[in-house]
Order: sequence, then structure tokens, then C-alpha cells
Amino acid sequence: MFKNSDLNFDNIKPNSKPFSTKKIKFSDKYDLIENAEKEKNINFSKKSNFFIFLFTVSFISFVSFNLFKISLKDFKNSSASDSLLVKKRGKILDKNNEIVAMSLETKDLYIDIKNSLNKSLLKENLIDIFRNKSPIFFEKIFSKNQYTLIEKNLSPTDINKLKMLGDPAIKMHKSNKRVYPQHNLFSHVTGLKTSYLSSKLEKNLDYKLSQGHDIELTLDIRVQDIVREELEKSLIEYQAKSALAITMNVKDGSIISMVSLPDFNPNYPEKILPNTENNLSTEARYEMGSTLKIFNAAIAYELNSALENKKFNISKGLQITNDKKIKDDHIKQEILNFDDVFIKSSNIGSVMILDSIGHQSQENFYELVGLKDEVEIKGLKTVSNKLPEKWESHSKFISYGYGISVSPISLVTAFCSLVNGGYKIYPTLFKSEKNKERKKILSSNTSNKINKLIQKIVSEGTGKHALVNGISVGGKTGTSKKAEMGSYSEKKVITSFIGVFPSEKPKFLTFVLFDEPKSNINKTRENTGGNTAAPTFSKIVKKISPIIDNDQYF
Amino acid sequence: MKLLSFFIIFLILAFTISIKLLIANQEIKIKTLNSEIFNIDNKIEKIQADISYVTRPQALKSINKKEFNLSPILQSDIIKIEN
Repeated sequence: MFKNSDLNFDNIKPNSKPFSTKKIKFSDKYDLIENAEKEKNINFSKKSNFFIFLFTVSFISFVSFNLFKISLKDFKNSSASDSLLVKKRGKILDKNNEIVAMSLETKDLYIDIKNSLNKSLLKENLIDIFRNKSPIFFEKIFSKNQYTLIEKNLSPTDINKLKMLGDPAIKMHKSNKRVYPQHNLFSHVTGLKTSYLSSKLEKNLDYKLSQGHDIELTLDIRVQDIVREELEKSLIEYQAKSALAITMNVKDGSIISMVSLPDFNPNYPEKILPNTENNLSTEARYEMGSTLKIFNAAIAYELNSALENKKFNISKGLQITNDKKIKDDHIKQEILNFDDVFIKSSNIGSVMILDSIGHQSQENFYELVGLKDEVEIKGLKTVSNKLPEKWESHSKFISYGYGISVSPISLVTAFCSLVNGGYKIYPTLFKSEKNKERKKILSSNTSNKINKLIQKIVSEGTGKHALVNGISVGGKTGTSKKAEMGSYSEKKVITSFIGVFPSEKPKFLTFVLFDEPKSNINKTRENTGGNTAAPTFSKIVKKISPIIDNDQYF
Repeated sequence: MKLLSFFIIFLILAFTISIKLLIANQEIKIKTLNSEIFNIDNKIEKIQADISYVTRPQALKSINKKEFNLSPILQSDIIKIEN
């Protein structure tokens, strides 16, 4: 390698005017200087390249490290997080997708007292806005100096007033409120849902609703409203303690309306009275009286007994136990045929029929149609029927509707099997659960005969007030004395009517029951099933049959 | 050569990460849109609740009583024409 020390003047020769002192030019004969320059440049380049390389690597490493760091960032916790998209509680809809219950986004008011600009002014303003709260409530809150909830589900007016105050202590948190736009109409089915209280469908189907799933009911808002309106009018007219009505499709078990009075407004849970909470259709049981007599006829038809041609003498009454003799004072005839027993609603005739068919057949039949089982409806609480400990000793009473307490939903379910061709059905409130596969438990012949018999009861017998212009109806009345303090009251009664329409080939069933209806002042209208529940049935069917029987046209 | 291979690795890394960032960005956009949809749904539901309240049978009956006085169709008003 060429070194600087090798340079000497021997290698350098002036190229012109050797004696000039001003300008001396040297020629690099052996390119020593040039080579030295080149060498110098090469060294410099090498050093530069090394630094550039180092810089590039450092830069790339830095960028790569940062990119990697960014890529590891959890974007799920970004500003548009999932917390905003919290699943809303599902809606409850009627048959036609009308809203029965839904959740709305509201705001709750909290106060962070420490941050208040002027505590006394804020307290005064809050007392002024929330007049339903006592000033003592605010005194306590402001004395604690804590972050406190003041009011849930603020109204838009209150929100505006609070914003106008402009105090940093005012904090509003998002919240949800369950609203029931139909007010009382479905209260006994939906129940209610608040942060501290839930009942009925809202409670029993909470797992589904809280996941955001909607629930479609078989109930029809139009029918429900008509039934409630007519039932309420009758409840007032007859001064009854309570009333209920169920309308059901006899073929698929779907419940079209279920009303129980008195009811409540689920939008105002604080105003609900204790005696209004129960859905009497499923949570109460009654001794139904003559409404159960129709099951005697069904047993007789099913057994093909010769009873249909038998005559029954009811003139002398009937001693059914040592201390119990029954009479049919309301019937003027002395001799009744099989149909008359039901048309005139004879207690004696019913016991005589029971004597012929036997208590075991009765018990078996009650088991077959489901009156011995507890009817279950998904989403609602139901009570089991109260059966006698020894069927044999009570069978005569059961034949005319005493000695056994059944829930209204249990009765209508069993009655459906009598009129729908003999198929067992299971009542449901949900569109998705209509009975598709039905089990035949009675013969079609029995069902046809029952339909003819109940039509006669309405056209000729105790159910005349149930007649409806324009549609054929059939049904059975019932009046039973209320059990009180171990004996039966002479004044307090349960009256009912269970009917179907159109009666030639029933599609729908409506059951109406009044608890303790009163006779009118002149006693021109006795408080019987035929005078109270039957006319109410007629008024209901007159209005609902054009809707549900011709549903395809509306 | 070393620099080139290092540069290629860097490019691959940068490409992969940029795709991930792109996806993350799109996810954020989707979530933003979802939250907007959620807010619109809330507004729609409030309107639905209002409609449902205003058109409840009792309200319609009182409107009918005041303004129109229409009678409901009864079963006797319907004639069925068989084929």
C-alpha cells in the first residue's frame, strides 16, 4: 500500500519555467498524489457506508419495533367499543306484532357532591325539580358528600332542567326502562320488570328476553281489548269481586285473550294493589258447579251406554249422603231425558248418570282429559287442581261440580278436547309453540254429540242469554256456592259460562267467570251463570267473532 | 446483500403489520357504524313506543267517539258466500 512517507521530491518534476518563484507547477509522474486521494476517498466512503448502514439498520429496527408495538395494541378497547352495543332486553309482541312490552333508553341522575360549585344552590334547585322527593332526602344526601343516585329514568323535561343548572356535580348515566304502551291490557300475562321487581313472563322468560330475543305471543290486542272492556262493564254491573275470561283456539291450544280483573298498570309498580296481582285464570281454582256436568255426558257418550235413552225422575229430590239431600227447585219438569239433564242443568240427573257410569269411569275420564293433572303454561305460574283424597266418596258431588276445585285454564283445556274432535291440546301463549301433533283421546262421535248438546243448552236451556246473532254458539252455564268457613255460603256464588263458536264445528272457546256477582235490586236478575256470565259471553263473542273467525279478511 | 435481505424482511414485516392495522382500522369503522345503527335503532324504538301508545285500542276508541262515531263490524253484518 502507498504511504505518505514515500512521497519525496525526486518523484516530482516542475513542468515549466523552473526558476520562476511565482508559479511552480508539479506533475505527478507516478500518480502518487492521485492514488493517495483515491485511497483517502475510499476510506472515507467505507466509513460513511458503515455509518449509513448503521443508521439504516437502527432506523428500520426502530420502525419495525414501533410497528410491532402498534400491532400488539388491543383495538377492542377503542372508542367505539362493544360496551355501547349492550344487548337490549327483547320486546314482547302480540299476534300481529303490536308492541306489548319494550325497553327504552333513559338516563339516571347521580350527584357528585364534592364537585359542586354551589352546594346549597344545587340542593334548592334539585328540591324544586324533584318535588315528589322530600327535602329531608336531599338534606341527607348533601350531608354525606358522596357520589349518590338521585333519580332513575329521568323524563326529557327533567334532563333539560338539569342541563340548564350547569353544575359539574350533575352526572347522568345511561339506563333502560321497561315500558308497557298498552297499560293494563296485558298486565296479568306480561307482569312487569323493574330493577328490583319482576313477575310473570318478564320473570319466567328473563333468560330469553335479557339475551335480546323478542317474544311473539298468540294473544291478539284487538280481542284482548274487547274482552277486557266487556268484562269490566259486567264486573261493574254485577258488582262482582273479580272476573276472568279466556279465549282459546280449540284446535291448536293458542290462547287469544286472557283477562283477569282487577288488574294493574305495569308502568307504575308503586301503585299496584296487593289483590290485583294474581292472574285468576292460572293462579286461582274454583268449584265450578254445573260447568263440569258436561263431562258426565262425555263419559256416557264415550262408554256407549244406554243412558242416552234413559228417563230421570227428579221430582222427589235425591239423598246422596246421610245428611245431604239435593233438589232441583229451578226445574219445573218431573221427568227428564238425558239431554234435558244438561239443558236444564239438573243436579239430581247428573248424580243419577254418575251412579250408572260408576265413579271409576268418572275418575279415569277426568285423568284422560287432564283434569287430574296440573296444566302448565310456559312463562306463567299455574296452580294444580284440588282433588278429593278419596274420589269414591266425592264422585257424586263432582258430578255436579262440587268437591273438586279446578283452575280456569285447566277447565278450558279439558273442555277443548270434548269439542275439537277428541284431541288433547296443550295451552300456549307462544306463536312458536302451537300444538302441531295432537293426540286423539276421545272418539269423534263423542265430540260431535257434545257439540250438539251444548248448542241445545244455549238455544233451549240455561244458556239462552249466550246467543249471538249471526253465529251459532254452544256452551254450558255454571253456578256454585262459595265455600266459606267450612260450609257453603247461601249468598256468595261463583258464576261461569264456557262456550264455543261456531258450534257446528267449534274453532274457538271463550270462558267467562265472575266471583261473587250480586243479583240486581229487584231480584229480576238472579246471580246465576245464565244471567251473568252467559250474556257477557254473548257480548264478547258478538264483537270478537268477526275478527278471529274471519281473520284472513282483516 | 445483508442489507438487501434485511430490507426484504423489513418490507414483509411492514406489509404484514400494515394489513393488520388496516383490518383493525376497518373493525373500528364497523364498530362505529354499529354504534350509529344502535343509536338510530334507539330512536326508531322510541318512535315505535310512541306510535304504540298513541294507537292503543283505548286511544283509538276515544278518537272514534270524538271524531267519527264508527260502529264495529258485527258477525251479523258479515255474509259468507260459498263457492
